[in-house]
Amino acid sequence: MREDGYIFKWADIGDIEIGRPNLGPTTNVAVYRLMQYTMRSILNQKYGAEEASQLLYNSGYLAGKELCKNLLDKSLDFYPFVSQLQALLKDLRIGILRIEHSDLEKMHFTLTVAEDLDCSGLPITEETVCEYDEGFISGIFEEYTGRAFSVQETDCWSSGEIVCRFEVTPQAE
Amino acid sequence: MNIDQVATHLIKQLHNVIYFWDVELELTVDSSDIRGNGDVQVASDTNSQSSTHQQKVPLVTYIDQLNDPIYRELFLKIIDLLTIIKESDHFIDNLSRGNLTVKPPKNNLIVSSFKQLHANLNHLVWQVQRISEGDLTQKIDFLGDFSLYFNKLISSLKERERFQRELLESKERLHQLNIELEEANKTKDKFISLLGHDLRNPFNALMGFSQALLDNYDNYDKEAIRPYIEIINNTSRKTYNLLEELLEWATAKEGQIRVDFQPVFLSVNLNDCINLYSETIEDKNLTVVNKIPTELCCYCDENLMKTICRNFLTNAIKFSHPGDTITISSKNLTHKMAEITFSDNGVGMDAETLDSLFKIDRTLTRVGTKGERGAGFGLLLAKEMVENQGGTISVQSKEGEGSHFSFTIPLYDPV
Repeated sequence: MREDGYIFKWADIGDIEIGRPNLGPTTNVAVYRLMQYTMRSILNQKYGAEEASQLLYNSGYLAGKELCKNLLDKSLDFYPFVSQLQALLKDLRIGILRIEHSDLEKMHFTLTVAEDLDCSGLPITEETVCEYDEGFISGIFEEYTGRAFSVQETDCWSSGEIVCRFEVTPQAE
Repeated sequence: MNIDQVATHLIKQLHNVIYFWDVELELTVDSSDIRGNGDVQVASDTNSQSSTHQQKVPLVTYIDQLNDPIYRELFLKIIDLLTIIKESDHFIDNLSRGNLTVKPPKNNLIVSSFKQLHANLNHLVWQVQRISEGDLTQKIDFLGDFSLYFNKLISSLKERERFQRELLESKERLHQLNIELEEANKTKDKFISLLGHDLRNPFNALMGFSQALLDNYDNYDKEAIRPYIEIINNTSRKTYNLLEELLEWATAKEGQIRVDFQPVFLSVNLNDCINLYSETIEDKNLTVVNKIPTELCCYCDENLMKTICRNFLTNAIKFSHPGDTITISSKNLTHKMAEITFSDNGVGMDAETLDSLFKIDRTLTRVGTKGERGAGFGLLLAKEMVENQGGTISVQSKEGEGSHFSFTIPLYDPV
């Protein structure tokens, strides 16, 4: 993991059951946000806001792909796949995923995530902050469909909108 | 307009919001009161003249003109609050009318809960669309009692769908049972028809010739009696064979055939069968060639196999011309199944006869090349016996060119 060009794979998560027989596999959301926002802060300072956002998006994309490969059944049709994804995200306490709009022909979707792990309860700064989630959703959709997708967060708790809303559209081929 | 006047107007707007849910953030003034620099002179100022031209001016314009910065900021914040209330009213009003296309107002925390409701309702609409397309796996968990009863509704739809599916399956089963019943009725009708005709007729000959013997016994010598006895004997045998076939077939139809699977070397069985009919074969000057390899071992019931081979052989003998050749051959279809074929180059069958071959209600009794008669049961019996051992029957035939009767049978696997 410390070598140049390290590429994450799911097995790198390790066996948490063996590693934490007493503390178990869960922790506080604040711990997760502590890690994310301190990392964002350092990335911002070193590379600037735009680059930091892109790096977070890319990390989320990698995470989404690996999650889909290892924890989701890609053989399901779209709607059962979405039900499976909703259940998984709720189970992992990542957020409550809902669908507002789906167009299977154009492959355009509008998703909302309530109680998002990244941002629910953050101070209102009138900006969206869920770049990692954008990449995460993009990675999941690409792994499932085999097509590249762009994901744009249009509403966020941080921007005062209570639920995070994401527009998912296919990238031009 | 001074501070007091602005404050009075704002108090009035706050009153309107509280009691009438109505906000007016613009004032109507005479156009002549608007100075060139954009400032507005209130009608109570001196030197103003009233005019018929009026226009709306935002209240903010008056507030911006106030000298005191604290009051200016206070009043502007109140304006902001009233603006948010106005757009909240618009959003909530649309939501209450079921208009979910309304965009939630940005940066408005007053309607946070309504925004959550708006997102939930949009998702609910999506779920109802899925349900209308037949996806009954949808469940909701975010609208309290509504969720409970909505999910109950889905459960009852699922129950109805399951009931309809089972009803359809029952109808199909019933239809199948009706077909089987019809088949059973045809079998019964055929049985009764045969009893009435093919079994009764020989007794005419038996009774006639035995009566003739009785009547003329004292007058006939041995040579005269012999033909009568031969006829009585032959007729009895044929009638007995027919009865045996009939009973075997009836047993097969009842599914009561007991199949005793064991390794059987088919070639040996066939040779026995050929020998049994050697007289008939010789009588018609036929050649019967057994090409079954001696090592071919089937896994079947030996007695049933003898009956099957006997039926196919007698059928081939019956419809061969004098001097013809009958060939019995085999091929391995897979490592588990073999196909045995009885081929003759006799009279063959036309399409109608071929079609009716194994149909109980349409079995045609055909006369052989030497006048041989039969009730048509042999092939039906052979079919039942083959199928009871896990095989299938097939026939290829052309009128005037002969026929190929094939059946499949499991091969013996010592493992």
